[in-house]
Amino acid sequence: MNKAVIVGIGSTKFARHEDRGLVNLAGEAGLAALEDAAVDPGQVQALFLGNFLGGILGGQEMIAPIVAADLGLTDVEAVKFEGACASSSLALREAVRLVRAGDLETVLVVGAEKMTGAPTERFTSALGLALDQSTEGRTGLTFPGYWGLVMSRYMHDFGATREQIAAVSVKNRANGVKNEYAQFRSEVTFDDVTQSRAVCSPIQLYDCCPASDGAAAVVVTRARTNQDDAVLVAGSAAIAGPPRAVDQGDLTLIPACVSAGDRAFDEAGLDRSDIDVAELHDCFTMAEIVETESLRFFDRGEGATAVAKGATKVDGELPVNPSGGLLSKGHPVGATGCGQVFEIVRQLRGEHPNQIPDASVGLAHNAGGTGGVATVHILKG
Amino acid sequence: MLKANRCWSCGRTAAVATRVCPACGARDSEEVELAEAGTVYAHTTIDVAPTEFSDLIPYQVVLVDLDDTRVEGRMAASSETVEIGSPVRLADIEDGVPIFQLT
Repeated sequence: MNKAVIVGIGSTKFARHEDRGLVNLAGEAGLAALEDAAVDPGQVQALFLGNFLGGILGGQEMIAPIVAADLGLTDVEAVKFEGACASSSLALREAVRLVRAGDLETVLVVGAEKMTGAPTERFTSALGLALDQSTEGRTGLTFPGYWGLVMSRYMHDFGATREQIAAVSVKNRANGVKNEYAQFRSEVTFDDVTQSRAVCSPIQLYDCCPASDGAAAVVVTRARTNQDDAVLVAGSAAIAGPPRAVDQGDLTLIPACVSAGDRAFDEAGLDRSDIDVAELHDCFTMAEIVETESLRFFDRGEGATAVAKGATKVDGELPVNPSGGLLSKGHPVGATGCGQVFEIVRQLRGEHPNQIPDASVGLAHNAGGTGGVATVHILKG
Repeated sequence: MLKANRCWSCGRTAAVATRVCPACGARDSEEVELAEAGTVYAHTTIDVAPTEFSDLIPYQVVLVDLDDTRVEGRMAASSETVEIGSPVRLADIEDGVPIFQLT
C-alpha cells in the first residue's frame, strides 16, 4: 500500500465571476495546481471533478471530459463526482484510495461551481435538489431551512443563545478579511448578525454563507523520497448518512460526520488533540457548531459555549476556519471540498494569511446535503 | 390519514418506506396508519423560498412526532408560531404534505 500525498494546489478567487463559466474556472484552478506541483499534463492519469449544479444551472453535463480537454489532458480517465456540497471531497477521497492502491500514479482533483448567474429563487430551488424530495423537497423546506430546524432544536436542548451561535459568523467574517481568495473580506458585528433579515427563523442572513463561483484543485500522487513539500494524506474517510431529517434521530448530531471523523482519526492514528487547525463546513453558523461536536472536538452542547468564549479563534485552543470558512469565502458548492484542502495545505506550508504557528496537522470536513454525505481528510505537513 | 411503514421484524416505523429495514435488515414491512395528534420536535419559518413555494411565504416547516414516528410537514397558514413541544393535530394533507394545526 502506497502513501498518498498532495504535491500541488490551486484556486481561483471565490466571488461572483459574472463573465466566467464553469469550465473557465475549473481550468484556472486545475492548471494552477499542476504548475504548483511542477507536474505536466502528460503525467496525469486521471481528472476527478467535483461539481453539483453544472447540469441544472449551466445546461452542461459530461463536464469532466470537457475540463480534461481544456487542460490538454488526453487519454486520461475523467469522472465527475457528485455528493452535493461534498462533491469534490468525494473526488479527492477516490483519488487518495486509487493512488494508495497503486492503481493510479497521479490524479488531478478539481472542484468547481458556477451558480451566481441564476436568480436567488432559481438557485434556492437548485440547491434544494440535495434535499430528500419525498419529504423535505415536497414540504417546501429549503437548504437553510433544514439548519433552521436544527438550530431550533439545538437552542432548546442545550440552552444555546442567539448571540453564542452568532459568534461563528463574527469569528469567520473577521478571519476572511485577510484571505485574498474570499468573497467577503469585511467584518460583521454581533448586532449585524442578530438584526439581519430572517431567512428561515431562527436563521438570519448573516448566519448563511453566500452563493459564489469558483474552483480549487489539488494534485494527488504517490509518496516518493524526493518530495520536499509533499503533504501526507494521513486520514481519508467518506460516509453516507440518513439522507432525510425525519430519519436522523437526534437532529443536533450528524451521524455521517461522527462516523467519517472516527474513521479518519483511526486511520491516521491520531487524537483530536493532535489537530492544529481545522476547516469545517460552516454553510451556516449552526453547522460549524454541530460539526465540532460531531467530530468530538467538544462535548455535546459545548460547541456553542466554546465558540462564544473564543476557543476556535485563530489564537484559540482549536482554530476553526481561519480561512474565513464558507461564511466568508462563499460556497461554490462543488469547489468547497478542494477549497478547504487548499487552505489547510497553505497552513501546513506556513503560507497562510492567518497562519497558525507551527501548524503541522490539519483537518478538513466537508458535508453534503443534510448529512447525506460527510467526508473528513486529515493532512500532515 | 397519514400512512407510514412498519418493519414486520423489529417494528421500526418510518415515514418513508425502504426496501430493506435499516435497523434489522428485514425485507417485509406493512403500511400502518399514524396517529393524528403529536408534538413538535423542531420548527423553522421559511422567508426565502424556492420558486414553486414563493406564494406561501412565510410558512412554518415542522418535524412532528406522531407516537414513535417522525414526520415532516407544514403548519396551516393561519397557525401561530409553534415551539418545540407544541401539541399539534393533523388538519389536512396537501399534495402529500401533512398540514398541522396547534391544538
